[in-house]
Amino acid sequence: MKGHSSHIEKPSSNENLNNIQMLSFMLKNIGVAAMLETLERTIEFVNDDFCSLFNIVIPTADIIGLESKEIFRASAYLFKNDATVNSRIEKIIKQKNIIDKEVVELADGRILERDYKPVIVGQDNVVSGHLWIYRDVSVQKKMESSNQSQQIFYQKVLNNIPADIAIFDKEQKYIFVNRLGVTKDVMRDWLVGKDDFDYFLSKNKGFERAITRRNYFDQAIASRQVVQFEEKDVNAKGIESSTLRHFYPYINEDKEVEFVVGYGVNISKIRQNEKLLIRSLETYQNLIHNLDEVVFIVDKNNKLQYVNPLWEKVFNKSYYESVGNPLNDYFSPEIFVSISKDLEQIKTDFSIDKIKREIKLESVDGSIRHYNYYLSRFYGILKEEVMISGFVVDITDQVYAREELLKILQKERMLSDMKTVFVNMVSHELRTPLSIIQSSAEILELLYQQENPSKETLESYTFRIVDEVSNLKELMDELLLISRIETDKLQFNANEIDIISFIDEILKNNYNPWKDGRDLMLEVRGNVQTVKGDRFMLKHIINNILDNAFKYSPNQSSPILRLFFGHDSWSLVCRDFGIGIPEDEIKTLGSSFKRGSNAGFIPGTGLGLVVVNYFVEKHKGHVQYQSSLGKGTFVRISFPY
Amino acid sequence: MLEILVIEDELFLRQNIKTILEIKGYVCHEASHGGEGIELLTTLNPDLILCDVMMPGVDGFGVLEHVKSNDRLKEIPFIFLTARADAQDKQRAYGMNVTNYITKPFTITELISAIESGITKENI
Repeated sequence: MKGHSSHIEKPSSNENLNNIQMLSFMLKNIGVAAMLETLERTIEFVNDDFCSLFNIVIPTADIIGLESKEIFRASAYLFKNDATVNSRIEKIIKQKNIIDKEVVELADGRILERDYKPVIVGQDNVVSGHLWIYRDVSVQKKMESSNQSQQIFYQKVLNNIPADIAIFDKEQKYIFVNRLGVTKDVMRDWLVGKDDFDYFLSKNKGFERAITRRNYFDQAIASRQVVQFEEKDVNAKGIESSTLRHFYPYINEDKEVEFVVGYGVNISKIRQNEKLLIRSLETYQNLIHNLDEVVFIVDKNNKLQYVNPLWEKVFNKSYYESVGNPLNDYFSPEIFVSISKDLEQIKTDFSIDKIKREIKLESVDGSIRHYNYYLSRFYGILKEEVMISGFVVDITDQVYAREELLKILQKERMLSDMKTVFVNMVSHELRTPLSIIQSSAEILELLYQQENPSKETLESYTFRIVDEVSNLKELMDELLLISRIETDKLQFNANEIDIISFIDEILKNNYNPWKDGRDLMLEVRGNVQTVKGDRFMLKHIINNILDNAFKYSPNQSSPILRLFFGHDSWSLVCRDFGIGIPEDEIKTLGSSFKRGSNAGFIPGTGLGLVVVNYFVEKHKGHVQYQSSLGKGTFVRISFPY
Repeated sequence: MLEILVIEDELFLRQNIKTILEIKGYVCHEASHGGEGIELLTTLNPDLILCDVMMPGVDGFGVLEHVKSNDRLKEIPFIFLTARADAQDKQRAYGMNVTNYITKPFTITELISAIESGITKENI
């Protein structure tokens, strides 16, 4: 009946009564509130739904014939706009136009829909009455409005999420796209029902991106799982941006893909940070790679996790031969004992951050090198996983420099000690002759005070003074010589020497005879040659050796002196039959002020052999001593030609 | 006559000291090294000991130690005669209760006054 005029045949005969009764039954049970009135506005028909809708308590049968105006006036209070309710009805009746689903709000919040149909009977289209239909649509209207507000709410949410969001149907056609996805409202509306091919075509761009997106979309549909992919863009300023896109298929209750949610998140910042991170990682790696120190990392089980290139040079094992293996494979067990203790300590003792230790390792070429190793603790990706980083620094050069310095220091200290001893020695050697001179002179003075001093007695003290002065002169000469040697002021002047007559001359002047009457002969062996040497030094050497030979062999037979001419060298051998030198003291012969512990009262400064050694060294020769305590000493001095 | 034991390894110096002491009216006993001096002291009871410090074998300190540890000898005035002039030696010597310390070279006056004051000090 909606939208059409109602044609009701006027009941005119008894046969039609049945029809009228049927119609009235129909109207009573139609499920909507219905009321039919005459042109004069008396009620022709009303059903129970009408009466209950408008709170009319009069039985329907009694209402017929009443004025409808009165009925509406009585029920006007039910309407939200009760003042206008009747004027609206008057207006509709006057216009006689069909009204369809006019919304009428009741005061109690219910919403009604009103239909109005002018009743036209017969062929002449004359209006003979009015049909009113009211329907309670409160429930539908409320649902509609809540649906609408829900939709608006979600659109608002979707439009304000910082991601571009689109909803696609199964053919990848847009159902919805949010404001961040497409900014322009017109474009957004246009896009609904279109796909990416349409979109890129509209933007005059190629289809590559649309094709790629379609592939991922198909994957998402097929796998029924979310698919991720990254899209990169470069803007007009050349700045790169990255978007991580997702196709998220929505599976409905029937386990079918109903639609696909597409969303993209801007990850440019993340990518940028990643780049920075990688760059700084590369910087550190480069640093460690080219570090002049061995770097390694072990896990909590002391297994190698990383080694730098220098590791290979020191341990002769490549990265791949090392990583994954226990650290103790690369050290001898004796050395690893301390390393493993240190590893354990750095892992467990949180009061220390670093351990440093010095070790010695055999290098690839077999030489021993010195290293410092440093261990420190850090945490791996998993917080509870403690890792140890180790640095091994080659300090061989430092150690050698340190040792060299120590040697110099020790030498300096020794020299200083020696100087002290030397000064004491000199002091003693000077003071004793001075005491003799002093006392002799004073005795002479005392003797002169006597009445008849014996001339011989006086002379003996005078000689004593002269003798001591001469001794002092000798000592001064020797000290001067030592001083010149020590300050390197003594020059080496090599000349050709007829060594046999040179020695003979010395023997004639000093030793034939010696103070105690003994004398000695020079024995010559080999083919006689002229030799090269410094006359002063050679004379000093020979004098010193012969003095010693005589001095330390009192009351024994004369020493033997032999001259050997060999193939490459010549040598002088002196053998005496004296007191000898204790075996353990032979090594220290020639050190300043070292004298045989058995020297007793035999005078000596402890400087003689110091000078001998120095002079022999200047000739590039060498001295050899052999001695037997109580039997004698054998000295051989060899010189190259 | 007061008796003095002279322990000195340098022959000429020992002889000179003997001459001086005899001129000054002392009886002089000679020892040429520490060991000989100690040996003489087994029978000798001198009024003063004059002893060199630097000697081969038993040195002056060795002799001093021997004397100071011997009840019969420990009261005998003991004078060191030394070529060593450093303070350390001097301190060590006085630490061991030496009576006097004469540094070489010395004059007769120095020697005699040390001997006389040594003997007097001990007698008081």
